[in-house]
Amino acid sequence: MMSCRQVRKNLVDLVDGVLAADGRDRMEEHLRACVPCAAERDATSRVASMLAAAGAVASGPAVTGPGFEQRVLASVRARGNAPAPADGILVRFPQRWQLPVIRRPAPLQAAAAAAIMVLAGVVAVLYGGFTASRDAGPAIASYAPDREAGSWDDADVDAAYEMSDLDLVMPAREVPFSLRQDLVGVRSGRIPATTYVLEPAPDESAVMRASF
Amino acid sequence: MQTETPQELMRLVQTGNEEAFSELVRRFKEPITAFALRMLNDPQKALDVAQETFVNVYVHAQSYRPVASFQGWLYRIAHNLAINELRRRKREQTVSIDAPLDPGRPDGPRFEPPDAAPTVEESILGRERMEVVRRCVASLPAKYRSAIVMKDMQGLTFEEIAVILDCPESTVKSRVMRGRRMIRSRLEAIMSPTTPRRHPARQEWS
Repeated sequence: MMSCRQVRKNLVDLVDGVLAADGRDRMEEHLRACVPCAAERDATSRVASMLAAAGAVASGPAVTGPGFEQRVLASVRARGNAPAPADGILVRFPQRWQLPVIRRPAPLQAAAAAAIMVLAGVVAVLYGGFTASRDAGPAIASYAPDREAGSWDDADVDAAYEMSDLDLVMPAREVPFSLRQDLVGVRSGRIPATTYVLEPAPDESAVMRASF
Repeated sequence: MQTETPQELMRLVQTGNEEAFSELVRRFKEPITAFALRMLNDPQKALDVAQETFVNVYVHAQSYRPVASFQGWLYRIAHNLAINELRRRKREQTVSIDAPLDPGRPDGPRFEPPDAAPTVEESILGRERMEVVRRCVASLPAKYRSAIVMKDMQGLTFEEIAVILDCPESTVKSRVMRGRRMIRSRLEAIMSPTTPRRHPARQEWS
């Protein structure tokens, strides 16, 4: 028989209906015998269906009329009508070891070279064969890691720092949100951003990978 | 333009095709605006965030990689903008469950708990119930709110949400679970403010 703890852990999947028959049966067996767990199941499923019902209701005054596209397009045109080059935005990858870095805007010639590097980088990252590029110029923004967030092992960060000549090395999850926002690129072109993705290598050292 | 997948449309947008972009906006404006509204509980701000989301899609089209789900990418932008907005107003305003039901009428009716009911969830009825539920959602801390909104109100899968929030699926699941529990206890609190009930989770565990 499953323990209450196991059941509680899987309750969300049970309510979601995504459990395989075997797991579901074992859950049901426990729930038939355990009043508190059954009550919790009923409660969470009631709340879930209430939320679904509230979600299905039309969203009130914010429902978007035909003017929506026009306003968006007008806003895009007001910003220059051209998609920004790929170096102004960071797309976060769901890797554990991602390190955002802000670097000084490159001079024009260097920028052209950087743009080529950028494309090469993106392609290389897609195919997983690109190792760190460290010549993109010194960082202008350095951010002290938010130590309160410190679920990270400092040794990891130190090791990464040792390996690189970056001015800023910190785990993505410790990056203050405001900085992440900038990096995620919600404000295009304001801060040129470069992403470095640091991944643990098989020998447990860290490998730098650069995207754009 | 109506048969292309979002990925195909994005490839066109990357070449500067405005028509493809308009099609993407048409397809996704409703869910994204609804998402923003649920995150922010403010129709005007929700509209702003939704529009800004699409502006970002266009401006940053080059950084979209076809390997990623377009919907996930879109939600991530919207989510980040919404969180940004929440942070901006965090110290200025909190949503109160017993605020007037109609924000435009400060003297208007407030939610009044009925006297006795079989369960808290069943006792709140109709539109009023939806409003109270939405307000409960809006009063959750942001990380539980985004999980609850995306999972229970927008119908995304745990897998999609995990990618959008850049965290493990197990984290999303526990946030959804805790979020639901918080909503439940908030509902209980407004239904019976003077007699706090024992939380079911605190009862005998085997």
